[in-house]
Amino acid sequence: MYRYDEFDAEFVRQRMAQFRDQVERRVKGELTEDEFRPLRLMNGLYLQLHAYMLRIAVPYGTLSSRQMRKLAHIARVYDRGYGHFTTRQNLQFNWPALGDIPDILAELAEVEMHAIQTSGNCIRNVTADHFAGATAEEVADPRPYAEIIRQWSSLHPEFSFLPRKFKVAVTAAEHDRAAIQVHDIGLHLKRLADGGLGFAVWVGGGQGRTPLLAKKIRDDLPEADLLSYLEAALRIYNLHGRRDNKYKARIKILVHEIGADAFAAQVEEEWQRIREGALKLPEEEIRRIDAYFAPPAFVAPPAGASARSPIGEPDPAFERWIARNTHAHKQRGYAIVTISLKPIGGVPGDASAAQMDAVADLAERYSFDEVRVTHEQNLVLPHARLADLRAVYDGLVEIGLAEANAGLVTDIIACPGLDYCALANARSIPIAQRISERLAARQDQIGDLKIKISGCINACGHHHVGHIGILGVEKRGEEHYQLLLGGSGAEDAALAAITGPGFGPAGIVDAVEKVVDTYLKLRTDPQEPFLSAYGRLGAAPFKEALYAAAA
Amino acid sequence: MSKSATSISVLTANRLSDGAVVFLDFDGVWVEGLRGAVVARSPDETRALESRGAFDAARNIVVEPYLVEMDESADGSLTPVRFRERVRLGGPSMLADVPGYVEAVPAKSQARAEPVAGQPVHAEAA
Amino acid sequence: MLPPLDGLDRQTGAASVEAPADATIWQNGAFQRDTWVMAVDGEPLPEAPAILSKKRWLIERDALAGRNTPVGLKLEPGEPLADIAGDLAQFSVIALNFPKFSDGRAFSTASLLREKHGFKGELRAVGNVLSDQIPLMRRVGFDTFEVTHAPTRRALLEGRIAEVRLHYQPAVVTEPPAGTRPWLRRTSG
Repeated sequence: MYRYDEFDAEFVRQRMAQFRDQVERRVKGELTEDEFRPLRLMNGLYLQLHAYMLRIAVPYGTLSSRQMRKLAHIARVYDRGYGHFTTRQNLQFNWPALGDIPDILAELAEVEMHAIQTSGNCIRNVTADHFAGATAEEVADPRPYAEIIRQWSSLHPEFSFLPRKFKVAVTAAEHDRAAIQVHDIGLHLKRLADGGLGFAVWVGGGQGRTPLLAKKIRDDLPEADLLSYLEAALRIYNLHGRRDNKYKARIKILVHEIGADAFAAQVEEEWQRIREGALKLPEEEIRRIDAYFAPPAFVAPPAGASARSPIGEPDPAFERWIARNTHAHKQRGYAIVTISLKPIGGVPGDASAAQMDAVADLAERYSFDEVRVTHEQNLVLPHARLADLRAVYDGLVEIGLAEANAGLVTDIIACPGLDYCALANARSIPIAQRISERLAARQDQIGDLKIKISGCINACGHHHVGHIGILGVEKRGEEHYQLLLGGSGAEDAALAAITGPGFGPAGIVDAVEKVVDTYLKLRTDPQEPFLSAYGRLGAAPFKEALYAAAA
Repeated sequence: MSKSATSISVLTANRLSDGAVVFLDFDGVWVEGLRGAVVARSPDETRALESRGAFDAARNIVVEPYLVEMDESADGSLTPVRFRERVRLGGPSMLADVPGYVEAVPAKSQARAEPVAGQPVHAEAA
Repeated sequence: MLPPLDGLDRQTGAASVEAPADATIWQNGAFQRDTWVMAVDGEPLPEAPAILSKKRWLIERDALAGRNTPVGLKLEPGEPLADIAGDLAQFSVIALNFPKFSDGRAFSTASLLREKHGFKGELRAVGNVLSDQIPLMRRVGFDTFEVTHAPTRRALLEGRIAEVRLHYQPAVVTEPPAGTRPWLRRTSG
């Protein structure tokens, strides 16, 4: 993974000193809250319902064990013993004091971490396929490019006061685990006709009040032109994105209003002017960044090696966990392990300091010191030997993170919701907990089913691309939930459709169960997953089950 | 609970130092919890509360002050009308389920609520 | 005995803690009085060096051809450059307005004026100019700043603008390279 050199370390130090100065000026009253707000947001500090919230950047979701241990330490010393992994591969602490923030940032800087640009109207954390560098599905690891974009976008003088936030995602596999079609810019790394590496560029995806899928505006951007093209696109957005209405300020609205072709043409014109300039990426420089992401020293296993213990009684729980939570690795003898942060009835995406420390230990021992954060609020050990899976599993059992539910109905994505978030209209976490408890016994039978819950229209729970999506709203002063079906954030991207009238907090759990029961009744066989069945059947049988007059 | 005939409200904000939810009490001190919160029962009182909030925000004691409409029961206890405000008052509803959750250390959070010159020392949280 | 009108010690370059309130233009490390006058649309053009709105310039462009006193332009965010691109050399100063500090369009306009259109005159940031934006504004080509925000004025006078002097991207202004990657820069001096 990327390692800071002197420049990177000094940059973070100067940024921290600058923010320390800004905090002092705020406390002294030299800055009003209005003036301080964009500055603190650019350092990832929100004011939430009960407290400040600090969002720490985990670039393209990649962490070392040392970094994970530091996060655990911060949780213990400065916060209330836990953290929350987010739908953008970042980590949130929910209770930091303003005066402690400079010290927290100083501790993070010791392990090459920061909270720069995790909020505000600027370019945010560049997310990536959480299996990058481990899956055989890619032409190359997309994360070096995410790192290059991260650098270029850091404290960019022209793009620090955009109309709105700007989110970039990269992937290299055909199966899109980075949800690039619902990002402001999505980049798909591919082999170009001339044999070189390049990108398909997607623009204008996003969720929130006006969900829209991205449009592909370029199919073959050479890697050398990555930054100049992005600069041109951001310049067009900065100049022409709407600033009159917060809910119409994302690039997706601009692309929608002027048309993808017109947008692409404007970008093209600006890009042609600057593409040979200082942002052109020399090949040797790209390869030098690539080298940081070189695969670790894999050891090919002896013939016949497998994860299963050759002696002793079969362990169905372990077998189930292997079947569900491990994914094929490009290197024979290895597997990609998903650590579910969704224990049945638990708070999705949360981890205690002790759990973080234990995961750090597992990563150090069994995954070449590397952990990933997924946008589905789980963790990944990207490079585990098959022979070590038993030890990994036992280690996870000890800390209560061995639930074999990756991608199942209880692997729910939920935003913090009204329990934490000042923007929310309804709680999302208790809904996730109740659904998880209700359906846990049948989760294997149900199979692949992604439920995503947002507590407000801002859609941080990504409900628009849930197979089942739930949106919390406020109706007559009480919590109320809309149900949506048929969304997907993968390469088959689709926006979920609302079923009809919403439900109360108890009703929505029943409604989800009814949807599941309808699916189980009507699927052609257990191998037909929910999303396929929904595509085949349409919404009608589900609506009927939900809204037919009670017997 | 029954709604009182006129709408009554209290003033809330987040403390600048730690973002904690606080309410203005009778002594003009910002306290955690509703006990002792000053209640506005008339438009004049409401305006006075709002001014006080703006004043204390300008003095960097609190941020984003606003009025919360309350229901008052027969025994005088107050409950926020809006669901959102009830959650805000009570803290996250599922803290018992949060892995590894520890309470804030009272001494630490008291120490953070440092007096600003001229501002009376905060009363003990209710 | 009247106190000196100008609080700046020009010989040594040192600034007193205060600058006169009407010295609003931060330039070359000091606050100066504005030598330009903002022409009001609908009123006669002043004799002094005057800054015109784009609307006025487009109307009076030809009539001003014979004018000897310098002319400047003020642009609001979002006003396009295409229809005045050929006129830019006539302006000694272009002022870009930041009506809200969160409106960042002028950062791109400044960039284009310098790099695409080759504007060589004074580029001035006006409106809501706050200390944290000034280093960013410099990098995209602004040379002067109209500052009325009191804490920002104090910070400038006391040399206390906390800035990050390492940069992860090339900017409009020429900056020396830093580190090994070709896109890194640093603020010199």
